[in-house]
Formats: sequence, structure tokens, C-alpha cells
Amino acid sequence: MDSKKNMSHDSRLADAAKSGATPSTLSAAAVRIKQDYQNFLKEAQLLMPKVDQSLLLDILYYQTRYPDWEGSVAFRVVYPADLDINQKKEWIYQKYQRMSKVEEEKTLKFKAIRMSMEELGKMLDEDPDIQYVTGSATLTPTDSYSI
Amino acid sequence: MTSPIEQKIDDWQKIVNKPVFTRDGKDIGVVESVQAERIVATFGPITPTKYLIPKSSIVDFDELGVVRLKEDGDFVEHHYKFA
Repeated sequence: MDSKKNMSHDSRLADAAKSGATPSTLSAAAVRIKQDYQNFLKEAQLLMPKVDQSLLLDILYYQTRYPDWEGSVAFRVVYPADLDINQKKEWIYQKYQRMSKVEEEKTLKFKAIRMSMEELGKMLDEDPDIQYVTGSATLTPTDSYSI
Repeated sequence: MTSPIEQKIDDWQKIVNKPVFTRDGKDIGVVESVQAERIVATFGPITPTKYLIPKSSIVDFDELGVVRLKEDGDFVEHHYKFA
């Protein structure tokens, strides 16, 4: 039993082959995984249409793969052109205690910690003016503000 | 309500990596990604300029694979450029 638990990837593949799983069924599995992934991406876009999908997947990956991830994310939050961006800057400061930088009069750039999928959802719920959220998640906290 | 272009483009993934031009012929870059209501276009290699453009601004996606906007370059720079 214990020896089964410690089996390597290759030995598991070999066992699968012995048990009658032919290459054609394994390739069918690959197709299925790809389809499921594409469906997942479509659903993610429907559920969080304002979030850059690369950022969403990065946060999801770090949060699930590393449960003690500190949630270090460099954000770019885009607002409509005709909005008072300083009011939004103040809102970000009150919420995350982070001073943001204004870019192109409609984008706030800031570095957040303890950011998770749930926190991202809350941010979008609380501010319906947000048009788009992009940026990058990093595994370790960094002083860099480059996005 | 869907715009005429939303009816014309059945699969929005087709416009990813395609060039975007304004009404007065300004090159805005290429489509990087497609959101629910907007597209993201980027211009330049190292620190690209980015634009968040409503799908309703697209007037044509022609047989050459070019996305054309209804606004001119100044309008796009002021209203849609975000980074």
C-alpha cells in the first residue's frame, strides 16, 4: 500500500498501460482535459468579465498551489475617462492602505498584498465604476512596481 | 443591445493579434485580448501602450483582417488609452 503511494509518475503510466489503458484512451483523456480547460476559461470570463484573464489565472494558481501565498499583486485598475480619478485614488487608499499612481488620467496603479480571488471579487462588487483590472501576481512580495 | 459589428463577428477570438486602425488611419497596435464588452489593444514591444476599446467602437473587421474603429486617433488617445 505504502509502496503504491510512493510510485513515480512513470511507474503509474506503466501501470495504466498494463491495466489496458491504451494510448488512444490516454489521448482521448488529453482532448477531454483541453476541452474542460477551454470551458473553464469561458466560464471564468463570464463570471469576471472585467478582469484580465492572465491575472485571474495567476492569482488562482498561486492561491491554490501555495496556500500560504501572501497575495502580492501589482494592479492596474482602469476607470472611465470622465470620472474623478482622485476620489478613486482615495478609495483605494482607504481600502488597501496603498498609495496608487495615476496613469493616463484613468488608471490607478498600485501594489496590493493579501489579494485573493475573493478579495478581487469584493473589490469589483464594491466599485461598479471599474472598467477593467489587469496587472501581475508574484509569488514573493517585491518592491518592484513594474507591471 | 448588440451593435451591428457584434452581429457580424461571430467568434471574437478571430480578431486577436489583428491590427487596429482608427478612422483617420492611425495605427493603434494589435488586439491583445477580448473582454465581454471591450477589447484590449497594445502598441509597441517593450513597454507597450495599451488601449481599452469598447466593442461598439469597431465599425469593420475586413477581409484583410484589419479592425477599424469609428473614432479618430485623438479621441482614441484621450478616451481609450490606459497605460
